[in-house]
Amino acid sequence: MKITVTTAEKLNANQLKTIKSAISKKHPKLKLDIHEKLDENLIGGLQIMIGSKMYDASVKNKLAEIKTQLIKLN
Amino acid sequence: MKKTNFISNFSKTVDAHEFDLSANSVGKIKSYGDGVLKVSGLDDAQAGELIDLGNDQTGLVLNLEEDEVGIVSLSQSQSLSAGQTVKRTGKILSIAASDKIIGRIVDPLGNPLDGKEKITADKQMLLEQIAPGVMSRESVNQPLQTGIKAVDAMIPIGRGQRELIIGDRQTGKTAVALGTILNQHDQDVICIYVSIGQKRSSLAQITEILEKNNAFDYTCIVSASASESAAVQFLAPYAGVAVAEYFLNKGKDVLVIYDDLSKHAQAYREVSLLLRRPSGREAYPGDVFYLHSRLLERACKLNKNHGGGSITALPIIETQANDVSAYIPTNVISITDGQIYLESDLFNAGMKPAINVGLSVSRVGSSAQIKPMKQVAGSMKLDLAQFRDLQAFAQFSSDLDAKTKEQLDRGQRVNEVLKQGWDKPLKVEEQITIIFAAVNGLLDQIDLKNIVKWEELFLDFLRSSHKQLLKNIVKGEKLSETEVDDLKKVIESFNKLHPELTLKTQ
Repeated sequence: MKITVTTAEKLNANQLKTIKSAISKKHPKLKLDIHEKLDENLIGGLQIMIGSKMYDASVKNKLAEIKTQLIKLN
Repeated sequence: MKKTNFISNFSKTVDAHEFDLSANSVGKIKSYGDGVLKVSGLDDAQAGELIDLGNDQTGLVLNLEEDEVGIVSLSQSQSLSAGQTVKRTGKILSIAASDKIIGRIVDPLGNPLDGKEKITADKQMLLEQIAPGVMSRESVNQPLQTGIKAVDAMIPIGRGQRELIIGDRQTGKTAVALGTILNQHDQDVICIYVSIGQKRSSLAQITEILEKNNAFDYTCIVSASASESAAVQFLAPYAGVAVAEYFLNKGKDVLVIYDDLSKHAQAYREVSLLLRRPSGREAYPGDVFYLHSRLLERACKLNKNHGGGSITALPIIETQANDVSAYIPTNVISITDGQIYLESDLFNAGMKPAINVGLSVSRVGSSAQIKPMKQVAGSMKLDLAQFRDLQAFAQFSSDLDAKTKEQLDRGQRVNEVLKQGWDKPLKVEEQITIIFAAVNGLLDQIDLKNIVKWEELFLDFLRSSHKQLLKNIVKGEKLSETEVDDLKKVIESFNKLHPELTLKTQ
């Protein structure tokens, strides 16, 4: 399965290693075929796509969540 | 709000918010056009599921294919772009229902259209639901009084029945339905009017009529107007019946009017063609029969063990040039338990409601008719059938024997009695007395032109001085011979009081 890691800034080797171990911990049987992608729009944090599943921990998504939360409270 | 206050509140909300870091099933928009999205990814999306398109917009999954998903957008979706990610929500389409929905106008997604507050859900009702099973149903046994003489006497509708109203444009289809709503004011029936692909101006008109007659105390409108997307129009009747089911579950009797299902079929055809589903006759997709059958199957009469509620459905179909053999009309005729057939020729001849009594039928309603009505309606059908036969025949010959002339006169009067303003529904006991007078020859002496006047005066007379008589009729027992004689005497004495209404030649 294709894995895409999107970040706002380029990852260093150490960060990549941490991410890889986190993924293989969650999906032990998965072959790690990681594609790196840069997207400044994320502002910070990272997005991991595994197949059509997405783990979104980007600052952009967090801001969007806060926005909907605030609108709801209003 | 003070600035510091705002900031502390703000940071509190942000602190309290738990970020969703679980895996989301997402997809990428491959193309978007005419309200239809093709999305790659979304591997585990289910048919009928809602998809979050971002910016508070939602879409509905209709097609599942090997490498893409077909989604129809349920909002304006101006900000969508190719390559954008969309998310599964795991939710199935539903509408917020509560007792407070009565008196409101909502769209098929439950958003208010009348400018009042949002409806808080007591229960989320699924738009697509399997109809009640055989074991929870019982046969139709309670009348649904439309207040229209021609319908209640000859095409009776029972609670839980599905009766199609079919006719060309401008023949009074909506008027029959609206008249029926107006007549439910004292019948303990909740009405839901579903407007599909109608002009907003007509909806405004209908709203005004209902408001003027205080019908909003028991009526709710679900509307997807002509300016709404085809997908939303396609959902409207399901939203209507979902609201009806909310009340059905409480053991209530509900009347749902679908105005109209021709436009609904057209909206579904549009969606289907855009989704590139194979088309069949008249370019409708193969499942257009199922589209209406699964909707109308949800009309039901539940038995006591299941609450005893009912959903009566009055779908409306608009025909083109009286062609009932077109695809959608034949489909819906075969699904429903009968039809009320309206004709423009009759309408133009001044027969209002323009019901063609010969072609209209009700397959189950007669078992729900009250006995006195059955008594008078039987001879009425015969009178009218004879009248129609003779009418054609009498056009050729001028001198008719006395018996034929008598039958013609009788028929004309019975026919005249069936005319009725759509906004003047009559109680069933009042209908019975008038039909009784017509079929028993008590109107033979009344001038044809004065029949309408006679009816008006006679009803005033009954309401003011013979209340007990009306009460006896509405009990539903077969009229005994003395009661029949009493009624005859009342009518005869009334006729004597009003000599101005009788034929001048005598």
